[in-house]
Amino acid sequence: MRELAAWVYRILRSKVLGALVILAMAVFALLGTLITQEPPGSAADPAAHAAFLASMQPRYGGWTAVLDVLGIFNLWSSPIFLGVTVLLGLSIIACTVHRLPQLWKRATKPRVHVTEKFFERAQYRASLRLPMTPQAGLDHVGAELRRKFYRQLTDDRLDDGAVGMYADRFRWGPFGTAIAHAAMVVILAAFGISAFTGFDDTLDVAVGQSVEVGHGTGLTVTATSFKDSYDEMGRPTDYVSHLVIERDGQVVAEQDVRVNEPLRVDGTAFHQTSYGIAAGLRIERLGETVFEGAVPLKWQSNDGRYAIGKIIPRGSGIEVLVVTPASGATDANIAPGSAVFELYDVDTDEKLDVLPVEQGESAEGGGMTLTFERELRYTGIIARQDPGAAWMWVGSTLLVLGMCMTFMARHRRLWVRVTPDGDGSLIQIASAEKLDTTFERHFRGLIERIDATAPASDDGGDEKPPAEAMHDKELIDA
Amino acid sequence: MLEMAEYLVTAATVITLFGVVSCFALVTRKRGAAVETRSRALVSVGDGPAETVEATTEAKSGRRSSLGWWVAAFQIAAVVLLTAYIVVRMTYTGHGPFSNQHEFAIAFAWGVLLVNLFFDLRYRIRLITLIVLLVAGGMLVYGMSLDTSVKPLIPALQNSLMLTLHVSFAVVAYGAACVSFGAAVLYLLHPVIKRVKLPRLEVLDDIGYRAAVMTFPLLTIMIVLGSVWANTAWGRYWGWDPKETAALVTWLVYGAFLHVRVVRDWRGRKAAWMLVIGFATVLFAYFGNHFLGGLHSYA
Repeated sequence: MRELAAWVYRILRSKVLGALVILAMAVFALLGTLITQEPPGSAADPAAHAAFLASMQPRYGGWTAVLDVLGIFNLWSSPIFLGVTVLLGLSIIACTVHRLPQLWKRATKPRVHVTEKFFERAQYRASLRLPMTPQAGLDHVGAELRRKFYRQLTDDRLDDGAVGMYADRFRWGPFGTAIAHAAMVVILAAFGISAFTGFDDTLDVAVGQSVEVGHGTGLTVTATSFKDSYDEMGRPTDYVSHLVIERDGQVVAEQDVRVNEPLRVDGTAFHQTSYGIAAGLRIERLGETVFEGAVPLKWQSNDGRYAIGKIIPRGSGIEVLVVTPASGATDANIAPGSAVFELYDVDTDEKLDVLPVEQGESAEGGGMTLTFERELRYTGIIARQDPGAAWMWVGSTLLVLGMCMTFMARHRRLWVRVTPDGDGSLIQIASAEKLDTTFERHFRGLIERIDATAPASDDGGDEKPPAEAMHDKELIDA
Repeated sequence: MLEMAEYLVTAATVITLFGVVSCFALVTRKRGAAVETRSRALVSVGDGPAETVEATTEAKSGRRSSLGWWVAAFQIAAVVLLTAYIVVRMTYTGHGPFSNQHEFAIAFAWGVLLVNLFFDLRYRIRLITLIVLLVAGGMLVYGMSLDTSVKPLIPALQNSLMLTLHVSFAVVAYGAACVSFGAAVLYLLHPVIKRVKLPRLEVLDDIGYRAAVMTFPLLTIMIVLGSVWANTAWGRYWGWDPKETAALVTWLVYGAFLHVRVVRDWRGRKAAWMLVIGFATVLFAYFGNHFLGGLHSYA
């Protein structure tokens, strides 16, 4: 068992697996962008799902069924995507846990003493002869390093008059990667919490009417007014609903709600999302009122001439389509102000009846009495509770913090050794950093500064360097 | 007023093209003699020889050519002109210059020029500047070809602070991505460029990395700000809107680049190709609204 766990851990912390999972996420994200995604709620409704697949058939042909089986049309909630997401989270955790001890050791117990050969072979090496004792030379270098915020640890394993030290800065910087990776796990968890907790409902509230929010909130939302404005091209410039939120008959909140100005009550947010025309209906069956309210005319016929609303009255097994002329459209079959009810059997999709009605009139069909009371305006409000959102902000903040630490505070390490050299000292400074032009500039600048601020040598500090040391020093002036 | 301000964009475009010409002249000219520097210290990097460090910064500045001065001057002038245009337009519209493709194209070019100016002044690799200025010039020409009229904002965009913050980070991130693209292209072209003295390959590789290091956190902040805004406007911080997803793909590409560089030490051609792909995803995210639709269809 222990061996199995070790094997799983080894696989999860594999950098190859990490790269593959990230690549898979990128591929899925691309697929989700390029392939049409099924509208929310459609997959749970067999009729709506079948209609969606039929609409995809012309585009994807024989691949439609394959994509459906693989869950690509509902990619973001598909098992394959959720599986990759979980794998990514586990991979991040394993990689971070594996790396932490190494980071901790490097920050708290660095290797202070290095061999003589290190100063000959390290990636960055500098040497400088100064007319001062080794200790004075080391103090001089130390003073310059302090100016650059280097921490200094004395190397006490040197002899023969040599002195030295280890210096570093931003030693906690590498922990930024651990923070950023932990942040990624928090963000993935936030996605999970958002997907599986809370609720997200669109409430179509007719002006002057109330709708219960449900989900145990005890809240009722009433739209007391709605106003929309348009520019000269007919595009909406503003739409605003005045909402009143009540609990147990008591008003708990009230506000004008716009797209960027939601109303929040006890963890439930109300967002303005859409608006339109609705048909006010009352439907009775067996002497009981099975529906009374507004049916939003959200859909349009393919030719754009009709506005359509849908409802399945409680216990009827019948889907009622309410069809009216679309705004601005004229139709000889349906006069303005009137409507047609089309009744379909939910199970067989068979058309049962077509019932034209005038506003204020009733019609009989499907064992029901359907009354078209009047046309109304409705406002589409998203009611949402999302406990994952708070974790998303925590994760995002940690992610940015971790990145800034990682990229802006890189751990820089230097080793300094000063040995007696005639009347003065030979100062050697080296670093094993990877090749990096930014650090190269920093290193050269540091050496230049150490040289420039040191006392001049007795024989004049401005002697020319050897011919082979003369060069065109552009790091980069190409 | 706004029509007059558009002359600023025209002037910036012309000046950017002057920058391209002067850059080209600078990189193809014969190089002068090496300059002696004096120092007691010797520095070695990698397998390189022990060299003296620069004694003074004056020695370095003395070597700068007048052409180099003009390259920097043209870039600064272009940035100033575009900044003036953006300020005038913001004053007129009351919001950031990001609500349609024209405004975003100009802001994109501004971001490219601004970030490149930083890298140009810091590293002075004029061949990268040449490539980046060509991209910026193309973006300005594209921006000028679009409808420049001011239209009322749709309700979702009527959040001036978030609009400005969200897209400002995008613009600067895209600018940094463009610089990393320039370095990567130069790296890949290195073997076939014979007549021009080129910087060391590892320098190009490192500058591409530096620019990507700048790109990634900026993209992150941009996406986070977008999420905050989406949470306010639509009640969800992430909705897999096509442009949101394209931005995520871009973020993943740069994240993968930095990841494999750190853990696999990917450098050289593989890294350069990843940066080219990264900038391609940036352009895909930018132009995606033309064919992806969704909530970002306005820009």
